[in-house]
Amino acid sequence: MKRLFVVLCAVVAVAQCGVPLALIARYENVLRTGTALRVPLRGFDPSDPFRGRYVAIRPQLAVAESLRPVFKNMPDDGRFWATLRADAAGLAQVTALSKDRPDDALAVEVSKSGGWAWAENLPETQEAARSMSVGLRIDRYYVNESQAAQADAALARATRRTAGDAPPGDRAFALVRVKDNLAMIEGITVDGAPLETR
Amino acid sequence: MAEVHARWLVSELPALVRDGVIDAAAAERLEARYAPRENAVGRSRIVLAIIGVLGAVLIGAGLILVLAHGWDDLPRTVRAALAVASLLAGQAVAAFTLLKRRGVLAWHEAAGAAVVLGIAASIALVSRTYHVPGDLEDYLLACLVLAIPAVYLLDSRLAAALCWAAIPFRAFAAADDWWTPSTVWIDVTLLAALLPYLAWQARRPAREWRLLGAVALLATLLTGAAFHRPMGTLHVTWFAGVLAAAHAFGSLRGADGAPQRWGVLVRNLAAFGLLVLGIVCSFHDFWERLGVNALDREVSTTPYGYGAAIFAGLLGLVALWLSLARRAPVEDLLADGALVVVFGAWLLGSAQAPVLSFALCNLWLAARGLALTIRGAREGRLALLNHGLIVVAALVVARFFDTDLTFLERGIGFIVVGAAILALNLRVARRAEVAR
Repeated sequence: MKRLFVVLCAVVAVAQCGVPLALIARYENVLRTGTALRVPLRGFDPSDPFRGRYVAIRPQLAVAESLRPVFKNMPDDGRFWATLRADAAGLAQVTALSKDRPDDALAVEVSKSGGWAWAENLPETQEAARSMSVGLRIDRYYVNESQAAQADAALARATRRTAGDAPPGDRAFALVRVKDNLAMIEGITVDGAPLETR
Repeated sequence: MAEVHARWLVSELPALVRDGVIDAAAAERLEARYAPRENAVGRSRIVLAIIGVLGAVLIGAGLILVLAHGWDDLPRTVRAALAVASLLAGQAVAAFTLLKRRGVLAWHEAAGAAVVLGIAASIALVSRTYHVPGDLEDYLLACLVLAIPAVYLLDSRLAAALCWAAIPFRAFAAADDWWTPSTVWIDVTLLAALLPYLAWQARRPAREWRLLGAVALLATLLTGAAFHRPMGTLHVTWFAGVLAAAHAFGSLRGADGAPQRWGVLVRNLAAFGLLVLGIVCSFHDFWERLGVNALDREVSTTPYGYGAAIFAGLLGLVALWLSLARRAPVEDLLADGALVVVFGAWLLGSAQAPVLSFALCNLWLAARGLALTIRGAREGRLALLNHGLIVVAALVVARFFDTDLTFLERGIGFIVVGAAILALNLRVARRAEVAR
């Protein structure tokens, strides 16, 4: 009985430590050695009582017209897989879509992003493609308490369309690392500079 | 004499008197000698443990918050190391407790709290460092799945209370998330996973865990409050089932036939909850709205909602069975049978007969109030009498808000009910004085 108790304690302790350690190992691996991509995004600034202030974001990728038939076959309210590649400027491009996980380390889980709250702010060129975009499974970027308000304002300025500015989608990017079918956000840039310095 | 022996001796006294080993006077002297000392020592021990643990928890939480303020200025590897260190610190306290301080209340409680908070801090810091997606409900679920086994292994009531407190948080966070399907079954499973721990506590003196029972009851009720979306109109059965079960368990008697000390608190809380539920259900509008929108709402009720209703239904039936098995007095039977009444009213309301639902709930509450009043007056028990009168008075006040009576008519009604309450109280108080 005593031995069983000791074994149970050991199993629970290992499981408790194992979860954060496994997460750290996996995330560090992606961030250190994953393929770097830039993904256009939008965001706003909520907070979490346990984890602090963050910018809620939605990295979105337009899907090329050539993938329209495949895109239409993907679930409207579920997840599917998008294979990503970086173009010459490092911008992420969707090269393939599938319901099952493809044998490609740069394929990540996505969902259709037609109902996104900021869709009405998309420029005309993207308006037509609104129903032809996918969102990565990244929804938050934590920032220091003291930087949260400025970060929010900088992101709002960069993603709101105003006369004379570059259209939204061209100013704010998520720097994402992808490896082993996992996409991790590394940082956010607004007009080429890190969000934290805006 | 060691506390445990003193407690044993006091618990043996009724049997010793019954078997003729000692007389009642000797038993009283022995109880006076050992029981007060036991209570004083026990209480101070618990207070000391609670204050010590609270202090440690506050210091730990404060350190994490101070650290979190400048968290993002630290290198990522340092942040990851600190995240794991917060958990390892908790586990170190737990290991020390199990190896060197096993059985010492304060250490068990401190270790339980340290592990639970260590898990919460660790997962939060990893999430923050790596910008892990997932809402509050996902975060709390991960923490609870890792923490609940520690509650049992460390036998920590504080850890259990922290877990219980987190479940309604999770349920409300999930209820607010309209984009994802309902996860009621997760909340019900988490509540069910902690219930055996409460049952396990019965081996201890009641004073050491009755507060935990109250926390568990409150957490279960609050969790149910978040089930409005998946349960639809069946939501009301959750409260009826949980409160009836709490009332029935709180009414259970000990081996010597006396009410159990833990039961009194739980029973009183449940009685108050049943009064609030009864008053809400006694309004005609409540059932009329259900009748008009029954079809729409039923469509929105998910299988998980029905699952939660079945859980509440089982609790309610157990309550009724317990009540019938102990041949409870009618006022207790009316409380323990709350689920039958409320579910019956729900069926009538769904069948487009809100007037009958309204009538049933009013009759139920009036019958319970009168039964309590009559019993209190007959047995000269002022607390019971006042409980009954409060139920009747609350029902009368609710009806005056529910009808189209004039101010004059309402005023006269209040005066009549108030005078009746005063007269009954005076009569019982006088009778008690004469008897003395």
